[in-house]
Amino acid sequence: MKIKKLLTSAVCIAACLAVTASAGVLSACKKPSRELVNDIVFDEFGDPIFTDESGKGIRLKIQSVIGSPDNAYLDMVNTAFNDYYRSSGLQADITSVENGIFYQQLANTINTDPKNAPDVIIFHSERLTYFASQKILVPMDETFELLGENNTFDKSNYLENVIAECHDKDGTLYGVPLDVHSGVWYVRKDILEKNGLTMPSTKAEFEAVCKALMERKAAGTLWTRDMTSVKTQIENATSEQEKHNIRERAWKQVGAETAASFFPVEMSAADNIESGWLPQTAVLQNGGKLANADGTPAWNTSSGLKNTLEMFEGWQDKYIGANRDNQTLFANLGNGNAVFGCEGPWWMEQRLNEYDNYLGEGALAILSLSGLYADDPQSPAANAVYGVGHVFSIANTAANSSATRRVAAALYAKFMTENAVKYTAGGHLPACKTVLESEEYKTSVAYNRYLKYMADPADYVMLGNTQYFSPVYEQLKTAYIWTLSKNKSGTVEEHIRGCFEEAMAQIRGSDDL
Amino acid sequence: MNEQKLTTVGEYAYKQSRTRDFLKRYGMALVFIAPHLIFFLAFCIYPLIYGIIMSLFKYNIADPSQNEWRGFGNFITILFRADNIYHKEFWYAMGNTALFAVVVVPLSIIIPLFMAICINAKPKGYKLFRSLIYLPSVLPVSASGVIFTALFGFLFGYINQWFGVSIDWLNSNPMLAWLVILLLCLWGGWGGNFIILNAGLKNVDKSLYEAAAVDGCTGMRRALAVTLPAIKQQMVLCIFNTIIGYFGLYGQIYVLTNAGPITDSTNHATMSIMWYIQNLINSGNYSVYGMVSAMGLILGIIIGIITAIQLIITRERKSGTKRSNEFAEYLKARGSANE
Amino acid sequence: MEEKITVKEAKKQYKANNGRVTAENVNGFVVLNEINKVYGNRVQAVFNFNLAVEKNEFIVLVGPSGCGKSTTLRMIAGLEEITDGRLYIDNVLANYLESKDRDIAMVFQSYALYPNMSVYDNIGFGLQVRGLAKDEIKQRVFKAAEILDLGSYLDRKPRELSGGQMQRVALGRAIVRDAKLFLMDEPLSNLDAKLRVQMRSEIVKLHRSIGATTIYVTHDQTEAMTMADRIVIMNKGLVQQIGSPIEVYNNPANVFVATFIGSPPMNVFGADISGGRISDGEQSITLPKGVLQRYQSHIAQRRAFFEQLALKARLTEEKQLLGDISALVRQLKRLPPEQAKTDYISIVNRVSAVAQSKGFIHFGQEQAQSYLNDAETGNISVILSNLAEIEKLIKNTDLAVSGLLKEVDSSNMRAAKKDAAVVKKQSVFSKIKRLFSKKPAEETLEEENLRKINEYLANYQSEEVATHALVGIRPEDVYFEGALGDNASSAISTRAELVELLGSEFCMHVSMFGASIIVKRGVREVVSAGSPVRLQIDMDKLKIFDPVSGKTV
Repeated sequence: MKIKKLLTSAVCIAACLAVTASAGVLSACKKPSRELVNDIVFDEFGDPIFTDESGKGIRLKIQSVIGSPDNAYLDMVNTAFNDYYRSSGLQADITSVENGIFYQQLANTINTDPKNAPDVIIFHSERLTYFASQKILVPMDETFELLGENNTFDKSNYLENVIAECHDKDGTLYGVPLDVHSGVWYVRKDILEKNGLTMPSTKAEFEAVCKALMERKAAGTLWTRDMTSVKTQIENATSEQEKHNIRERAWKQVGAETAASFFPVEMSAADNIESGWLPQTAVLQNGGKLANADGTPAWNTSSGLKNTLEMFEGWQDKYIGANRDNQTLFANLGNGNAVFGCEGPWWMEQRLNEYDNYLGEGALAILSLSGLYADDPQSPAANAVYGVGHVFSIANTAANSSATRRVAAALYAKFMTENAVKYTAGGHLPACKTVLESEEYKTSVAYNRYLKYMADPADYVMLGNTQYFSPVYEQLKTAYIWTLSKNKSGTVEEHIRGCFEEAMAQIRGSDDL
Repeated sequence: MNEQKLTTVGEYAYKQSRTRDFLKRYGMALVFIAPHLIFFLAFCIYPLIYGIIMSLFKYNIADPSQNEWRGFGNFITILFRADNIYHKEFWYAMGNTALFAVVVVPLSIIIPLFMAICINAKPKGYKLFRSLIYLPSVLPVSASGVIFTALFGFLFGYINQWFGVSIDWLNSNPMLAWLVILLLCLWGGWGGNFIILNAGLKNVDKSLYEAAAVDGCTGMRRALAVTLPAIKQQMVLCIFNTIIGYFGLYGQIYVLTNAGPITDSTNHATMSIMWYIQNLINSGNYSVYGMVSAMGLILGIIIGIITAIQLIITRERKSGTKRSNEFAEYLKARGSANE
Repeated sequence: MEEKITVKEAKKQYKANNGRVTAENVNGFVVLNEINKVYGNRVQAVFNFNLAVEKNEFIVLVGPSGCGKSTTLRMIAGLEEITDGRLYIDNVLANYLESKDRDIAMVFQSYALYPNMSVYDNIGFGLQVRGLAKDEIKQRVFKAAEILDLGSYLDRKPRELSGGQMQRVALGRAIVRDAKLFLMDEPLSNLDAKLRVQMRSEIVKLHRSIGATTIYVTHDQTEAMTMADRIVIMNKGLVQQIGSPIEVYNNPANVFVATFIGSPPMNVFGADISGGRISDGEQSITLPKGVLQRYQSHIAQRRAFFEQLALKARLTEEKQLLGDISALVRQLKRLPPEQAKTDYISIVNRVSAVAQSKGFIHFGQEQAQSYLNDAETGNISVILSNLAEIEKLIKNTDLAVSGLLKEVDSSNMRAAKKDAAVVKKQSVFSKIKRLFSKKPAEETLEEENLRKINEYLANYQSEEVATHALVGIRPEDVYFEGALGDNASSAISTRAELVELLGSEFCMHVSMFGASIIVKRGVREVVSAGSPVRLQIDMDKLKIFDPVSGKTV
């Protein structure tokens, strides 16, 4: 009897849980009402008032995908914002969230945890189109229009090629772009010069330089210099002259035996960062597109991709060493075992400081990808560089149904992008023309030291408004990784086709859910 | 006038004692079980039911308006639609996981068993060895994973340095990568089985060994005829736990290879089913959750089926009547011979 | 002493005999010769066990738990190593044979049935291991099953059987092997009382019908009495008495045997017998003539013995010898040969003298002579090995003394009880306390021996022992007045304090000479509790025991 009772109660509890669970699912099916409530009150100057009757202001929550080391630069801009709007009662706090969990956490907090949901999100603009389609963003244009006559937001103030990616596929603006950037080649210019070579600017020149270096290596006449060996001596040196002598003494002429591990180019199949720049740029510089209008990948038809990947394949064990992985890049550059290494731009400041200090100014140079993979260097597309950027968007949260709060978020995006000079020091080119043209930017150390060596921001081409970011982008990366991998079979062409088909299968699967 | 319930003193006392008995018997049990029960309901049963319901939908965590009733559509896709990417990758990952389990499960029983038998012979310093054998299991996978990455790293790995070779263990040949994962699983996982088997061996009735000695049964034969049957329960437990554990293989792969190396356009060579499901969740596709729930349920059902098969195989069989029938014939034959 | 041969020769002979050492001149089927068992923790479980078992004999080893009976059996089975002494089974030296080569079958207390095998396989396993043909196994198992009535259970697993059935399977496993020797280790102790009685007779019948030789271990004296051809009663690792059941019942060697055998046990009480009579108030009986004299001369003998022993056990001389020997061993190679020879000879002579005077060192005249002869050869290695032998002999003196004392101790019921009490008192708390307290200085074996000897001596010298003996009488040897003839004592009047009816008999507790005495009589003579009774004792059956050693006078 008792057992029966217990069983009954167990069944009851299970049934209750089932009911709550299904209620949860079904209620989640209903679209939550987040209709905009226009509660903006303007002051006598036509600016919105951010404080309520009790004088309490608005504190914006910002969730950012920008991590160390760049978040420090972003925080500087944020501090400027807080200072500027303190009197109006508007403040903002940035929380960094790791890329791996950013997007899942975002959707979850917006829908199930309104208290912790961010007001503004800073993320990679290539994902914006998908987010807009998932209704977790609110349109940017409409929000600025709430300001009425005092709306100073102007789309044309941002680089057209960059802001293009901030629209959904129907053309509605959902974000304000912060920056655009791409990987760069870090070049041991001192080694090139010592060996009588110059910085390449085209595919042919790049190969020629590599060839020349390898010939010198074979002949035993290759000059290299190991930065690590001079570090302590430089630190202990007292005069510039002494430093100069130390640096000169560090040069060594080596040959195939003494410099067995010298190979000019650092690249590998170890899912290094360059896989996210090189194949994409190769497509674009040869007039190709990354994505079609319907969002499907378009790179499969690009002859430039095929040619470039085949070129890379040919470089293996010729210009690229066998034992390379993603840990070796700066080590090999430093000890003179490599001359070219492709990495993210956020290392520029730190690395330049290091090389300038130990090997003298100009030892390390920045070479943008511009023009490097074009079959025809004279074609109009030859200078294109694949760019990615960060974007500010307003999250579609319950709190943001208040027009005042939404406007505050929009103003935050505008302020942050228009005052991003300090942020650019991390190797990001500004997307806002005001910043690009400002004296502060043009006279900044960062610009003159390295930003100007990156490609012209107007030459950057973004992925486009595809809601299938992951298949389009990841499969192109896979094609590159496979090219350099040690256990491949089949030709580059077959493999590009394979990657394309996989991307299409993923897209079909996702559409078919 | 109020109508009052009437009773006798005896009835009242009986009722009181019944209530008291009931509270005594179940009240205490309930108090002790309650903390676990609440957590079990909240973190096991509720998510399970929620997951079952989710698996019947196209479920979007970002935009609920996209949710659509799918019935068993997700299950049908995973099980039967050969052209679908989720079908393809699910079964690829499932195949990887099952193959790996086929290799790793026998090893992770046999090796600890061998060690337990050695330790059970109580050699000098066996207590030290016992702790040393169990030690790797104390480490979390993240820590032992770091140790293995240091050992099997390509450029700076100790193995390559010690033996003067240059093998890219984790990022070239899938078989090598699987080998390293296998080693990590064995090294980090043998402790648990070892302790269980060791405890089992300790409790084997010594007189069984003595009876075997008198019967003239020693060495290997004794291990097979006496030791193994005596620790059958522990063996079954270990096999169960290990199979279920390795169907959930995730941490070792995540730490060592993150499902790499990429061998062709489609697949990560060392992708396990758990890694695949986890990867889908983190992929940034918000509509995939119904499908993922269905995958999780199918995985659960597959593990359930394997467990059921195991239970059936290891079930105690009812004794037959073969010998007693033969005996009856023997008696009959003797009887007729005597006549 | 066996003749010594070279190692090579020994190896050759050993191999020629298929790894067996045969001994023709052994008198008995199973012979245990001076068997000792010392465990790794220096606890000695069995002392100088001597027993010769004849073919087809049913021997029962009986004693309280921890008396070494199971250890002895397990040594015979080859499950325990024999520390010292020799074991012969069927004229083969069995010390070094493995269990399986001793041709024995054993029944364990826990039955030790293989839980995963059916009854059929359990019984046949030993045959299977020995590689018998399947048909042969089947015939043998079926025969055993027929004898033990297990036919309908052959397919069952042990867990599906009752205790009695498991017991029969264990027996079946033993008999199917046609072994020469059956060893049974308390096989009935896990059965209920009724089944035990039934199985008891079955085992005896089985023993008779298959003509086996059986050594059976039990702690139950009833089993021992009913089953055995001969009983071996053990206590504290020592054999107390060996004899047929009726012998040990009627003529117990000491108090221990007297009280261990028989149910209810023999009444033993202390009494003043100085006047040739036992009396307490109005109760009084006269002892037969000569009893008092015998007792007194016995006590005097014992006193003399311990006085002697006390002298012998002072081992100063031995210690001196040990020191001299080790000094000689150290210097031997450096000494001039003549000097070495004289020193060696003097040591041999001294040892020989000590051996003669004390008797603990087994160093006979012949051996002394051969050792002296070795001195003439001047072979240093021989001399060294001889000295090592002598050293060993001397070091064993302490053990020999304590063995002697142990023999006295073990038969003494009082000492046994005292020991048990000491063990009992050690609560967990006191154990913990002991862990933290300073360890008292360990008593050396020599000191312990001397202390014990002095205690015995004091006991035998005391006034009380001279007049107070232990008197024993079996419950059935006390009669109601008038039922006995000449040998009856004078009547004693007392009161039946408690009456226990056992069916055909009844037990009556009465107070007699200040002790509580149990009287067993036929049920026809039953009296009611509390009623006054007059009793007479059969004086022929009265036993007098030495109150210190417990030995029968």
